[in-house]
Amino acid sequence: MMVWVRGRFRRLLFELDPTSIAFISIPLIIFLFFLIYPLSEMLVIAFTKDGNPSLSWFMDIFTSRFYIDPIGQGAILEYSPDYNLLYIQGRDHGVILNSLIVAASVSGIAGLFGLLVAFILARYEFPGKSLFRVLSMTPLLLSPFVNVFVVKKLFEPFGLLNWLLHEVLRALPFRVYFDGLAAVILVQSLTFYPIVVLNTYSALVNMDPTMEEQGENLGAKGLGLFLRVTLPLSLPGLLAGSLLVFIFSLEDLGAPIVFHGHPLARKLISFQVYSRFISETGVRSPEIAALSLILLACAIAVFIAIKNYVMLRPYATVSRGGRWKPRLRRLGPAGLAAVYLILPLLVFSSLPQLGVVALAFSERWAGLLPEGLTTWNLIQIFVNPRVSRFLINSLTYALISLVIIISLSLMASYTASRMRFRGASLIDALITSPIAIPGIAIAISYFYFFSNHFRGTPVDPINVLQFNPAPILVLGYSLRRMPFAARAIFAGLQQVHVNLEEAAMNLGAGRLRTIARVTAPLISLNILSGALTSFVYVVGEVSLSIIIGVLNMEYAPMTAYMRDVWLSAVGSLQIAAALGLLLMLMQLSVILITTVGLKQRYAFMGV
Amino acid sequence: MVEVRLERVTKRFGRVVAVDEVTLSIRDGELFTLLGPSGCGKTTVLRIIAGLELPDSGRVYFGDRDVTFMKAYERRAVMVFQNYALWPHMKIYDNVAFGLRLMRLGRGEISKRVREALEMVRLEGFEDRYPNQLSGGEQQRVALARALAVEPEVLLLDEPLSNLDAKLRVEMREELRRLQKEFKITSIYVTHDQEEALSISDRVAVMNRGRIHQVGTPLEVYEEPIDPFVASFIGRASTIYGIMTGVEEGLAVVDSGGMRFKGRLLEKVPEGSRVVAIFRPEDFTFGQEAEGLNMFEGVVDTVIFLGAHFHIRVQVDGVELLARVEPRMVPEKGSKIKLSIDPDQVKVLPTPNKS
Repeated sequence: MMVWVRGRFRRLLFELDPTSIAFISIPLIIFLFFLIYPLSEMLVIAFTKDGNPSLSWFMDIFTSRFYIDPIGQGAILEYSPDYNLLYIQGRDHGVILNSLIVAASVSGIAGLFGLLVAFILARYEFPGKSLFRVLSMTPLLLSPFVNVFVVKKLFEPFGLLNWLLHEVLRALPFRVYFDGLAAVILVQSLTFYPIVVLNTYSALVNMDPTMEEQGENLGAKGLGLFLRVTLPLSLPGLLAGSLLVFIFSLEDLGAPIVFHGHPLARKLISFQVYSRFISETGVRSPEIAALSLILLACAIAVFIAIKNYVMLRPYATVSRGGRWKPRLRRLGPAGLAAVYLILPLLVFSSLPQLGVVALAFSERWAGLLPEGLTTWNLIQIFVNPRVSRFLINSLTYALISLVIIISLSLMASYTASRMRFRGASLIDALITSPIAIPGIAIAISYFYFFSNHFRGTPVDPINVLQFNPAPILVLGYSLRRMPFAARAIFAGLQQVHVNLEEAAMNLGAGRLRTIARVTAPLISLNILSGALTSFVYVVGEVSLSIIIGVLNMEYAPMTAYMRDVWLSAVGSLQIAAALGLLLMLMQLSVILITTVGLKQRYAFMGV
Repeated sequence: MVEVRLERVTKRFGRVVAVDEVTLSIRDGELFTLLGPSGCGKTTVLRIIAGLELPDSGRVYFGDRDVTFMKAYERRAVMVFQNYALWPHMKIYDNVAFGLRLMRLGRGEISKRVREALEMVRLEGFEDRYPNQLSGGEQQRVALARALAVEPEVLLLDEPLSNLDAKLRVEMREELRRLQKEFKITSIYVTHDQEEALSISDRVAVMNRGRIHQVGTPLEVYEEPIDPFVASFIGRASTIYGIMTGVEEGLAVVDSGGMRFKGRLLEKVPEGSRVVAIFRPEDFTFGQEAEGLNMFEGVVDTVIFLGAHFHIRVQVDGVELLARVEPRMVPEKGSKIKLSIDPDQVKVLPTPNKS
């Protein structure tokens, strides 16, 4: 027995050295302590009433028609003859069902449109394709709140689109007004569909062309071929993209906050959690924890379902290797006409970003278009300390987060791809899990976690006067944006032949030195592109910023300022737009650097 | 400059037994080759010696030291990888200096030894280039220089020549042999190429499915293969199964269907037991009818042109024999032919239980 134990121990020591122990345990401890534990604690809070285990918070929610109303109220559409106005707002099925209906509609719309655009990009060649491509990616540019505002302005009864379609082109016999849930669906579909495009496009171009060729060879063509071969093989990519859209829609706060003037836009889980949290002070009601948990459960359930579906279909990524010629065909006149009919839709989906740019350079937006060309807004964000403070906060947090993100994702990805023990891939799963966890749930769990365990310290959110959200924000940002860098680094490690590292160890280099001298230099481009992408998404982060960040505006990040324009009516819309523009420019430079400079693929995110 | 011993080393990958109870002793300063088909576990044995894999059981010794649990970077067993594993982001100089820097040598000493190592492999002046600017053969030599520079106790070569073209491969293996003899480093060489193994090695271990079949000098494994696997893997051979019906004048009499012949018993077996006889194509002669020779008559089935000579397949009483023929006396396909072989050249072995 002793011999056996000693043998096991020596085997363990052979695999583990101080470096690998650190590489395994540091990410594990941080994620267990700062992600799993706070979320579990929130679970306990939601199931506790007056110190006893209780289902009461959930009973209250599930029995209330405010939260669940299967019958529903109101009309999806209403036509008002007095104003010749078609009013589209959606039916109210209660907060929880509303959220699920919105998320499902958005992922459905984004899925269909995304598939169409991805298919055109992946299989056809036509004049203007690069414009088509750029326009289809434009909505990915982040400009929290302001992009929603632009959509709102464009769709006003007397806004630009109604003017164009009703008055000028006379294509519509009435004016259309989107508001409430319908407006949220519209905005989110416009914003998120490129995620589907990216995932589906890569599935389509990675598909072995001989699959389709064999199909044609056996007599299938057109729609039949598409439905029987192409679609099933690209389904994992399509579903992965739609899944992300579903989760993003669930946790989105931008659209509900901008449209919160309409009661239906407020009846979404994300907005309810948020507004209840903000309106209470001190120790928040456990009902908020219960609601966040429902949000989390919905996201995770869908995530697991799709992940299982994709994992059960590994054939989608099987290929015989070798270089193949992509199936790119020229379009005939009918096809061209169809593609050019889609083009206005793409222009339309890029309008929010164009609008943000226009707004950033204007004095006001009262009529159809922003008016009064000025650079004052842009200058303000640098010279006005009441604005630049937010920018500086954001950049500081992002830089610190970056250090954490890079080191942790390097450790975890290295462990997952290089170490041979059961559970190594678990660490990889752990650090990519935040993609499925709504930011709101993390933020609320952090509120409870830090107020319970750090009472009276500067990181206690209830200790309002001394509260400094910086450490919590940095931590939360790091964990939330870890998946971006982790994916990029993992992909890099997959490309480096293990022999290169073994050769170094074989010549006497320990693990740490091997990583520093051989591994890290070889994947430096992947690290850099992952880091840049994470950086941008940290700066554009919303949930934590406007839940935890706003508890002390002195230390709040710039997205908190952007939110204030709508919720607190302070600050300037145009300056918010200028901040949005800055964020988009940062993201654009990152995309250019990674794709052109580093020759890396700009991977938004996959499952 | 150390003796390497493996004692009952076993390594499994999942259900596959990659290395099965391997016991080996590699002498100080010899060039020892592990020869076997791909997937036979020879590379795994090498990686276990290098410390890149931990065996599931068994022990590895360098001299008297038990190094089984010693980590790769604590051993002085340096490997030349099949794909050379040159670091693409480092110049040749830095590649070769890598191990020397870890030995905390002085700057001058390092540059002296890098220069010497590059001279050894005839690559002076390549210091400032990057690996991707070198040809395959040059990269191969850099990998060798990088290993030799640290003066390892054991040099491990994992199919080092397999990525080179045929002509360069012959040149390089002579070069390797020269360097190995010059430095007298205990070297373990892994290859699936029997010609390479026979030409370069002091001793060869023939491996299949994780097991060592035979260890011996190249001549021994060629001349006296211990079982049909070794016989057929090294050189070409026809293996004929039959029953040993008796012994005449020290030679076994084998009956295989309609065919009867005599052969040399490599291992004692009782009469009536199942045996396998091994015929090398080059041992056949034609048209000779001397007393005591095994004589066969058959029909030429196939003629194969191999450059310097021909091989023919001859059907003899339902058994197929492979024989070597000089170009000037190639028979017609389908013609009848008489061939003979000295019983001393026919090796008779008991049939292995597992084959």
